[in-house]
Amino acid sequence: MTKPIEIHACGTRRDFLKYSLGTTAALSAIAGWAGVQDASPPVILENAGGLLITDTTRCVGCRRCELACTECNDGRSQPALSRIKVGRNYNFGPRGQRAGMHRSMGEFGNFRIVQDTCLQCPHPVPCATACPHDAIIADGMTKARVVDSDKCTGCRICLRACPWEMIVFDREASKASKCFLCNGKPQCVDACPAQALRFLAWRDLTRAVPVRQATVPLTKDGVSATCRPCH
Amino acid sequence: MAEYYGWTGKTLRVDLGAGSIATEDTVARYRDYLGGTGIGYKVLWDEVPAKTKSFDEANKLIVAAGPLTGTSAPCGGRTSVTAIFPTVSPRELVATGHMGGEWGAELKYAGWDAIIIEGRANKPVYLAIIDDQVELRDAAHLWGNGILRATSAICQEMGPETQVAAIGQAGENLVRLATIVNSYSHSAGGVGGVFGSKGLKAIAVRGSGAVRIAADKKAWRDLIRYVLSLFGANNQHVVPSTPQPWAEFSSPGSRWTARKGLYWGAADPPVETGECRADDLNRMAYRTAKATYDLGPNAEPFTVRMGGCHSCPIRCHAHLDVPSVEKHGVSRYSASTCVGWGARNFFRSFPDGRRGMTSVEAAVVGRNLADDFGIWTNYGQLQRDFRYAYDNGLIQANLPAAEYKSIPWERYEAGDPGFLQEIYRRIAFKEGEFGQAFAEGSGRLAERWKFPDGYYKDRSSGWWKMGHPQHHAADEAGQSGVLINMMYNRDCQCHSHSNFIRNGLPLRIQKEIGAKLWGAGALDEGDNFTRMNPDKARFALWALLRKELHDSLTLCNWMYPLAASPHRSRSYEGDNGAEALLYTAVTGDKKDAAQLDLVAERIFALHRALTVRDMGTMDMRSRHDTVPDWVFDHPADVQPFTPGHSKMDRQDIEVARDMFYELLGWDKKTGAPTRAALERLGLEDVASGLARIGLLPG
Amino acid sequence: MDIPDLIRQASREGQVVRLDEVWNRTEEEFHAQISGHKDIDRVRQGEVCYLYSTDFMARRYAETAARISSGDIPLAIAETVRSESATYPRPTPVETFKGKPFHLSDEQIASAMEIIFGDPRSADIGSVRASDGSVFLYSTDHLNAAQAQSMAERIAVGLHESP
Repeated sequence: MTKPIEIHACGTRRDFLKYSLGTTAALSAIAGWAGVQDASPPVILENAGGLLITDTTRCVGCRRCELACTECNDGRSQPALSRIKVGRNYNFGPRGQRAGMHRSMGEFGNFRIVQDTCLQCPHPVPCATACPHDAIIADGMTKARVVDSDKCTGCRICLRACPWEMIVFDREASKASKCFLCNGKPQCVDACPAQALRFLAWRDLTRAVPVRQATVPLTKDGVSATCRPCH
Repeated sequence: MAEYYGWTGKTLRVDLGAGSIATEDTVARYRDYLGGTGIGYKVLWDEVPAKTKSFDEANKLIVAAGPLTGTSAPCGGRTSVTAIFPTVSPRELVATGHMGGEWGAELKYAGWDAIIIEGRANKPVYLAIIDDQVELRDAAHLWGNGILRATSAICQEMGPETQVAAIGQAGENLVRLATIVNSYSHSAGGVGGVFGSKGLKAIAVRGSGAVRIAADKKAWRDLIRYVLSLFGANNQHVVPSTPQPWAEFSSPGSRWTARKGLYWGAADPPVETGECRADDLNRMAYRTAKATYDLGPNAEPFTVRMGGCHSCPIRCHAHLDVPSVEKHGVSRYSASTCVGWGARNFFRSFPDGRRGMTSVEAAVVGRNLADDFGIWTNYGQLQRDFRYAYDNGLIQANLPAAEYKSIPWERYEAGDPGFLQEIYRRIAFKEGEFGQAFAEGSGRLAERWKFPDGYYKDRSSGWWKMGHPQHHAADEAGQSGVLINMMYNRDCQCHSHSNFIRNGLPLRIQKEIGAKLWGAGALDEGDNFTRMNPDKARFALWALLRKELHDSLTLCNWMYPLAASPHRSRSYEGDNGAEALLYTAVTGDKKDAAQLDLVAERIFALHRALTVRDMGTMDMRSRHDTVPDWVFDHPADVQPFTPGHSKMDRQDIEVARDMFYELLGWDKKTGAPTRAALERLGLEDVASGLARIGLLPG
Repeated sequence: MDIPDLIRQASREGQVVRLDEVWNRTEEEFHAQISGHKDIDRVRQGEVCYLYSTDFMARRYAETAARISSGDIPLAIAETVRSESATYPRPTPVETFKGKPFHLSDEQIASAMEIIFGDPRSADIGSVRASDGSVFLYSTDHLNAAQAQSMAERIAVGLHESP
């Protein structure tokens, strides 16, 4: 049974903005941002209320979590679209095939299967910050970072912005997508037969989990200026 | 191309000789055969001439998933490989290998239901599939290498998430006992040499697409939960193996071995399997701690975790980390299940006993060699034949003296696991008389070395017919087991019957469930068999049809059918229509259990027709549906149907054949399918084809 | 913790609770007291009433636990063996008596078996040994010796050698 989520965000959005005003001022000084016309404030999202926690000693590699994700949300079975990623680490582990057979993780290594999950980053949120259309927002009750598909133009910047490569692209809809914690009842957690996934109160794991890709360094201005003509 | 549910709608046809690649519409051509073995038999019937041999260019390989593969239909991650099969003897006939792992699901995500491989490449190639980009690539740099190196090299070329099914040196060298392996430990038996004969080293696939599901999201989710709720443990055993408070019943032979104090001992940190209640779907993966079941308590501290096929929550492949085996020249990491650990049975004994640490090491060393060279055990027959040959001086008698002397037998006698390198290497490379003979598989080995009659008459040989062993036959299931074992050209690979019999429920409850499915008379008390009756024939037919159905949909034959369940609230009944519910929901093609069983019957009948055609005789009853003498004659001093024995009676088995043929509408005298039986299944063309060559009764 | 919760906790652990250890009035009064707790059920072993929760324990398990709780170990073993030989039917590995709900040591099992084989009231209890040395007990009222032997061999060896 899922316990109620403890919300760690500061009370109201107003409180939050007041709290982080100092940060905003510092940013504006550094980036010369105050000089840009029709400047939108930096994307500041409240912290998420919950987080997927993985136990890699329990993961048995069944990949039912991936299937639950897209079957429950998209009505089809498509691990490439899954917002929890296991298949890409299955053979050789998250670092890929760098160390040869039996030297790394995964089925061809020491058998450890690593599930990659969205860390629901605290501010600054790389995917949200990179998006030229402010299409990644904090969702409803959970405050999970979610792609607003009405605003998404399918430019894919966010895919390159996420250090953990957790954004997926729905080719049929031509939109980005990401883990939004299934409105507080993550389907992957429900589907896991090994209790290798848990849904707990949010905590900041951005320094605990090794990054997966070099990200595209962007500022909001840079994105807006260069991407808008096409997207 | 049309968009389908379940099926991707695309079958790949590869002509290795011409180097050409084509796409066909799976549903338009093969819908009535589902996938897997169904497509396999259909292609062999339509396209491969009668009496084609395994390594002839005209043989074809049909490597196929099915409409359910790649979805969260539990345990759908299976692939069937159909061909004229190298180990069937004396004449090669249709048979199938089956593999799990990730490969089949990846094929579906790449947008393909099945692959038909024909012809022969004039130099080694591998087939590279990245979604709809398919090409044959040079495999010169892979040829001569084991499965692991081939897999590694291909992943370097195609990406680390590529799923590779590859043959080892055994398949390349046309060893009849050869496999193709994917996902480290998932092998399809017997077919490796056919790949080798075609110069096809591997099929590698990466897929980013989707399998579509017809049912709406909620209905599908509810169905999945319902099906999972019926699941027991491995082999659909529905009670725990030790008394546990939540469980009304228990059975010491059950594979529901989880309990307090039993660990995945090499997990970091160790994971307790604990008590797994039947209603706890989030702990299903712990129910079957299989390493200790297969290898004994010594395997507990070396168990890293359980694993297995795509989409399966049961996880029957034990994953072991045994550092001490590195001195024998293999990796410390190993994974397998059941007979995959059977290399220890090459040895007569070990210094520290049958289930001591040396035995565990031998199992690991053998598995690692077998799944890298790609050598098949033939359900343990390789090991039984070796033991017999060694113990009866046949190895010494048949090997040239110099070759015999070159083999370090003292290491074998000492129970040294490293000796397995000698066995597996020689077979993989057909080194010497030893390698060439054992590479031939049981039937041709026995011919070549003139195994005496006594071998086949002794039940310890395990021998059934045509070069293959019994597989859950009379000793477990009396006449039903005998019927099931008669019907195929390799060992039957059918578990529907034995899974139910061994599920741990009291006989009274099994009979109540059985009464609704086949008749209460289908089941005897354990080791106390009674005479044949029609219920037993129905039980056997149900078991066989479901086997074919699962190999075509695809679904795991060690979990389905779900005849029983672990729930007292359901009177321990499962749902005999679970496959039909899943099929209907995924494909949108509404079929109930009976209608889907009819499709299975079509597939099974096609296998029968192929066998009749390629044996060149209608007389299945006496030439094909045979039973080894030991089933009737051993032990000599006991009457059939004596409690404590599984001795059968010849006349009673003739009655069994009568009843079985009657259920299928096959000719009573010969057991050959009749025109009426074939037409009822929409196989008019098959009937005509058989009639044209004088092999249709009446 | 109130008595129903105590019973539930014990049931979770695989133990039944003796009524007279938690209640010093009559059985009828106890059941009136806890009538709202539909999951609390009782089994009897001889004169003694034991309690368990059906939420966490199956009745058949409770019966076995009650037998062993009664303290007459040979009787508990014999009755369990008879029950299994009648119900499944199958012989019982003596290994079973080391785990729940028995928790017997090798010595306790050995001495219980001596008593069982010496007592005319358990003349129906026989034993067989599988080829790996493991010992099974069975009741000749329900299984014959040959059956018990072949079943024992399958459970101890066959299922693992020929899976």
